[in-house]
Amino acid sequence: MSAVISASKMEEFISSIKNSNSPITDELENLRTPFVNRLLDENFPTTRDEYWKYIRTNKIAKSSYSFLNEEVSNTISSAFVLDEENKEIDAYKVVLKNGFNTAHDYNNLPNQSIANIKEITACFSTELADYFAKEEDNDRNVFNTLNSAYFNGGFLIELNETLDKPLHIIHEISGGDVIAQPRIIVTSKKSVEATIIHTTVSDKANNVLLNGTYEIFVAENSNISVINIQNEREGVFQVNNTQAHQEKNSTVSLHFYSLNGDWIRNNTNILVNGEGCESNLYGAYTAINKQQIDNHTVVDHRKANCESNELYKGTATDKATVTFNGKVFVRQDAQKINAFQSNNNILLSDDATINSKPELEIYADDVKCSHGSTTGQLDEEALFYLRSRGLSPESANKLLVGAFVGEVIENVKQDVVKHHIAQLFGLE
Amino acid sequence: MLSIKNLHASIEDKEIIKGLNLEVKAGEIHAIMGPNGAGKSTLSSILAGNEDYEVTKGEILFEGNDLTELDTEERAAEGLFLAFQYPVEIPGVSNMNFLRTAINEIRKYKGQEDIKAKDFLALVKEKSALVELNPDLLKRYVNEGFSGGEKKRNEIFQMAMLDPKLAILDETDSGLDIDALRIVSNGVNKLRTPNNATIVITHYQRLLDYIVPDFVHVLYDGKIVKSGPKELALELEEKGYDWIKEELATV
Ligand SMILES: Nc1ncnc2c1ncn2[C@@H]1O[C@H](COP(=O)(O)OP(=O)(O)OP(=O)(O)O)[C@@H](O)[C@H]1O
Ligand SMILES: [Mg+2]
Repeated sequence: MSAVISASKMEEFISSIKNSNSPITDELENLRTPFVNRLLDENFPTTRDEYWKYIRTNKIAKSSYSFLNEEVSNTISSAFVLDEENKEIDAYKVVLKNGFNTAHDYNNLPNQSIANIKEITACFSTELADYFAKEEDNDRNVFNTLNSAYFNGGFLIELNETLDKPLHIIHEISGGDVIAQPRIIVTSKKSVEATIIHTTVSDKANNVLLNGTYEIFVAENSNISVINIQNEREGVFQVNNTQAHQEKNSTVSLHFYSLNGDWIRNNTNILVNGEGCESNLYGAYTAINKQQIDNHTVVDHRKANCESNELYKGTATDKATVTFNGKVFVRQDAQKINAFQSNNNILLSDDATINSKPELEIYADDVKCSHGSTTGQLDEEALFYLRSRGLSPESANKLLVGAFVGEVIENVKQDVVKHHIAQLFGLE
Repeated sequence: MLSIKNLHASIEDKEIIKGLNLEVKAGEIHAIMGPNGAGKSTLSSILAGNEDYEVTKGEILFEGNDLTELDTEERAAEGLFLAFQYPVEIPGVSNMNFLRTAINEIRKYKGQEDIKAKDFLALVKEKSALVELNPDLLKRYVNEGFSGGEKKRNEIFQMAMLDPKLAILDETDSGLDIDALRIVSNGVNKLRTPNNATIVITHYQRLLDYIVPDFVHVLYDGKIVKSGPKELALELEEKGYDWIKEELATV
């Protein structure tokens, strides 16, 4: 299963990355060393690797990336999540520029602890080592290792109490042949509610790899939502490695809204370590041109009496490729699990490709699991109806696609954020 | 306004329309009646530009232009409207968003600017009142979960919003209760001007008490086999279609 070892290739790939990284503390150095070593034995996956069959990494492997720590302008170029009046939504804002931390607003979070991941001191109540790369990815993905070995910025955020408005993490991406590797760890105290939004601005990017790793630790009775809005321009490769760890009676909802850009790979893992948990995964995507959008999810039920819901919907047109691979594990002790998984796609052109593979691995006997996957076309009768009222085929298409993915977007709790995403998908 | 000459059309190589002629002038109301399966809905679909049907012979002129050269949406923009016999449900697409898009696309076709939000709302208010459409229905998705009668009312509401030159109402009366029939018919009558025309397809003379036609046509086996004044509808109601079939057989 592991790819042919070609250490020289990987060494070459990381040489410029290594050189452009800024110095870090000894503690961090210790944390990342195993990953640096391991990385040398790994290689980028090829289409021969089962979990990377449908998304090509050769362009990334061949690139010579380095970190780019430019001075950050004081004003942010544009607003990123807009409300109905086109004003930026009210949120706590954190800005990362090419993966590096910026001073922008990030200490304004009331009653919460937030620290630059590269400057964590002993006095910070959370031990980074307890959380950093706590568990392996199910398929030991090399991008995650790459981030652990050479992350260049990020935060450790300790949520001490419920956030009264969303925390908006903005990833500003620019430059050519740049790699950005933010590492964000979020931990929560008991009974905390919070919403985190990730958006990306990439107006001046040319062959940039944004490889972020986001670890979320949801404590007992807490409820954390993470909404990823992946709306890049061409020339951006994005890998999102999200791992959520749930303790008992907690809820986590991870959302992925993917449009535009060249290449998006989401490795999403939810590890359910407590009873009475609810885990939600939502994804909506519209892939165009030669875009590749690949969602890989794992929900790992390790404890009894939990529920997971997974709903991914989207379209592929032109020569785009869309992939969904959703795995649900129900471990032997995890009785009374309800796990639902559904992936629905619309194929809008003959040259587009859709791969959908829901997988269940069940080792317990008292579980209710269902999975379904459909790939179809737009409803011809509905298209004709809309056109008979004067809508061009393009507009009619857009309305119907919007309606299709709307079912996913509906699950965003904040109306303003929902409205913003709906607009991105041409729904409103 | 509309001139159909010797129209032949088929679907999957099966001929359904077999030499049909029809002339509709501005200001007129035409009723088309005929037995099930005669080709009435097929004719409306062809007029609206449904590409499932192939026109094999004959011509259709709309305002002097060859209609078959136009795409469905261009026909709508030129002023043709079809109220469907079976309006489709479109979950997830809101009625209001759909209608605003329709109006703006038609305006774009005509080189006009988008309708102002305020004007659009005023228009919705006026036209929904005209057909006594419950405004709550407008907030819902297109026809989704509408009752049969509500769907039909929504068709006429859309017609009122788009203000077409030629409207074809395919069995709009079926599924309407007695009050709704009167309300919808009233709506249609109020929308009537010397410059537009209406074709009503129906099985029942009852509708024609409200929407009084200038001509009644019998469509049978893909052709219009008999035309007459509004009294023809009464005769059909009384005697059915057998006598027409017999008449045809003796020719
Ligand atoms: N896809 C198709 N393939 C084969 N035959 C078809 C197809 N669509 C319609 N037809 C046939 O065409 C004929 C005309 O149908 P149409 O719906 O136009 O009748 P109608 O006059 O509107 O009838 P009704 O009064 O029942 O509404 C019918 O015999 C029908 O079965
Ligand atoms: Mg019919």
